[in-house]
Amino acid sequence: MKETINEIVIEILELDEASEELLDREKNATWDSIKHLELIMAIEEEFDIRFTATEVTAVKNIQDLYAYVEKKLV
Amino acid sequence: MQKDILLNNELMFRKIKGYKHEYTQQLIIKVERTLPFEYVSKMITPFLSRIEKEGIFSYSDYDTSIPILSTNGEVDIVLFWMDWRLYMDKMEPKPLLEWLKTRLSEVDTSKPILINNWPTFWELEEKQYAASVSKRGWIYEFNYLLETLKDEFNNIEIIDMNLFASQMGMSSYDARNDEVSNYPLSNQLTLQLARHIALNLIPAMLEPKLKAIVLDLDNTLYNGVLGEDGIEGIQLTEGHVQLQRVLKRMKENGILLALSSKNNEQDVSEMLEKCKDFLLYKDDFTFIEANWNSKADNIRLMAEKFNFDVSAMLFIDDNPAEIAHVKEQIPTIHTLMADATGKETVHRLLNYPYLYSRKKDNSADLRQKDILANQKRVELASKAGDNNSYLASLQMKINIFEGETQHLQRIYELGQKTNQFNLALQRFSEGEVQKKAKDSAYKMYTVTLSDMLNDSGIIGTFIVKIDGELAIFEEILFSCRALGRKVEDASLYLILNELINKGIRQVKFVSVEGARNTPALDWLNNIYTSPIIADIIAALKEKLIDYPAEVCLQNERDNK
Repeated sequence: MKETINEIVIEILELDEASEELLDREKNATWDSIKHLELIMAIEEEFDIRFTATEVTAVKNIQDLYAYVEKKLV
Repeated sequence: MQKDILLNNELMFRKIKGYKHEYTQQLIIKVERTLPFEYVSKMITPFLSRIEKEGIFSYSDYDTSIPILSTNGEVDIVLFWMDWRLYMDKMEPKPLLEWLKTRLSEVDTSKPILINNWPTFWELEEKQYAASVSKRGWIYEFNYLLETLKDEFNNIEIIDMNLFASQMGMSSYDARNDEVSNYPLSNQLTLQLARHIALNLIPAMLEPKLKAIVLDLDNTLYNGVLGEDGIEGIQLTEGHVQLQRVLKRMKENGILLALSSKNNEQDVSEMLEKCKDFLLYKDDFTFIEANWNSKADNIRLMAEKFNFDVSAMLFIDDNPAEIAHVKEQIPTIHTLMADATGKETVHRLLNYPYLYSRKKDNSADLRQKDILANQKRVELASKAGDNNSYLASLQMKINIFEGETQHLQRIYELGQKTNQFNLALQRFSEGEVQKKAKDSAYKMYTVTLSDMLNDSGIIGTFIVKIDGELAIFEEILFSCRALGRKVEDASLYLILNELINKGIRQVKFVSVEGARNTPALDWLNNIYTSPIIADIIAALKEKLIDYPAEVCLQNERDNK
C-alpha cells in the first residue's frame, strides 16, 4: 500500500526523488492546493476510498496519507 | 493497451493514464479560467494521445474580469473554463453575456474557442423551489444565451457541462472538492468532460468529419448469426436498439451508412425487409455488400463508388480478426470493435473522434441520392459513344454565384471535407471564410450543379483575391461527387471571362501538393498555360468545345 501511495505522490508532484522534505506539504512549494486535491482524488480512485473535507485539509505529509489510507482500508 | 478502452462507458483514470500514442501534432491550448483546469488537463492527456496530439497548456490567473492577453499565432485553441457561480449574484445573464462578448472580441476568433456552460441542479434543495425563485432560473437563461454566441462567433463551441452533469446525476457534483478547492466537479465528471473535449470537440473544431460508417451485421447490428439462426432467431437487444438509433441519428446528421457482411445477399435483403423492429431500414444503407469476399475488398469497392478516400470511413465489426485484416489491408481506415451486447458499441461510437456534429447537416440523403445517381452516370457513360454525348445525355445545369452570403457555411464545409479536388489545402476556418467574405478585395464564387438524375447543390467554390490587375485564386474546391463532368473547367471559364471584363490581366493559382489532391494539381497543370488570363481562357475554350451544359453566372444567362 505504501509503495502505491509513494508512486502516486511521486507522479503527481513530479518528483525525481522521494526525500522526506519533498514529501511534506509545508516544505515543498509544488505541493500546492491543486496538486493536493489531485493527489487525494488519485488515491481515492486507486484504493476505492473517500476522504472527508476535514481529512483532506488534515493531510500534511506522506505519513498522514499512509495513516488515513490504512485506517480506511481496515 | 487496447485503445478502444478509452471509448468505453465506464472510465477509471488509473486504467487509462498509461495510454500513449506517438503524437504527430502539438496543440497549444490557452486556458482562461476562474475554475481550476489542472484536474482536466491531467486527465485529457491519454485522450489527446488517442488522436495523436499532445496538449501544451498555459493558464491565466484566477480573475473574474478575464483580462485576456492577446492571442498570437502560437495558440491553437482558446478554452474558457469558468465558474459561472462567481457572476450570478453580481450580474443578470444578458448583461453578463454582452460583457463576455467584449472579452471574446479580444481573442483571435479565427482560432477555435471552447467555453463551458453550467449545471442547473447541483443543490439538493433545488426541488423545493421554482426556477423563477432559484439560481437555477439564472443558469437556464445564461446557458441558453451562451448557445447564441455560436450565431455570432463561428468558431465557438460550448462545453456542455450541464448535459454531462444531468446525465450523471448527483454523482457529478463533489461537495468535498467544492469546499476544499472551489472545484465542484466530481472525479468522474472531470474524466467524462476531459474525454468529450479531447475526442468530440477538439477534432470537430480542427479536422473534417468522417463521411461514412461501414457496418458488419451478425453480432454487431443485432445478436445472432443470420446464416445459422435465421431471421426468426436473431435478436435485437436493448443495446442494439440503442445502437441502431444512434446510427440512424448519425445518418440524419450527414454520415452515410453501408453494410459489409459475410452472408447471402438475398438473406440480408429479406431480413432488412422483414425485421419490423429494426430502426434501420434497407434504404438507410447507401451500399449493401453481402457476399463472401474479403471485407477489405468490399470496402475498397465501396470507397470507389462513394468516390471518397477510405480514410473518411469507419469500419465496425465484432470480429477482431476482421478488424485486424481490414486494418492491415487498408491502414488509413478507422476501425471500431463492436461488442456482443451492442451497449458498449454505442458508447464507443459516441466517443469516437471525428463524428461529432457541430452544425445541422441533413445532406446525407442528398449525397446518397447523388452517389446512386453517379452509379447510373457510369452506366450512361459506358453506353454513350463519346464523352460529349454522355454529358449531353445528363442535361446539366451549372449556376455560379458571386458573394452569396447564404453559401459561406458550405464554402467552409467544402474546405474541410474535400481532399481530391482541394488545390491549396488551406482548409480555412469558418472565421477566416467570414473574414474574406467581408473583405472587398475578395470574390467568393460558389458553383451549383444539377442534372436529369439529381440536384447536387453547391459542389464547388473559388476564393479569389483581387490585387490590381492580378487575380489570385487562393483556393479552388470541388466535391468529388461532381468530378469528371468538366464542371470545374466550365465554371473557371465563366469566372475568368467575368474577371477579364473587369480589367484583370494576370492570374495566379495557389496550389499545395498534398497526400490526395493529385486530381486538382493535374487539372491545374493542364489549364495553366501561362499567367496571362487570355491564354487560360483560350486553353479552357479549347477543352470546352461543344460542351453540352447550361452554365449561368448569377442571373446573366450565358447558354453555351
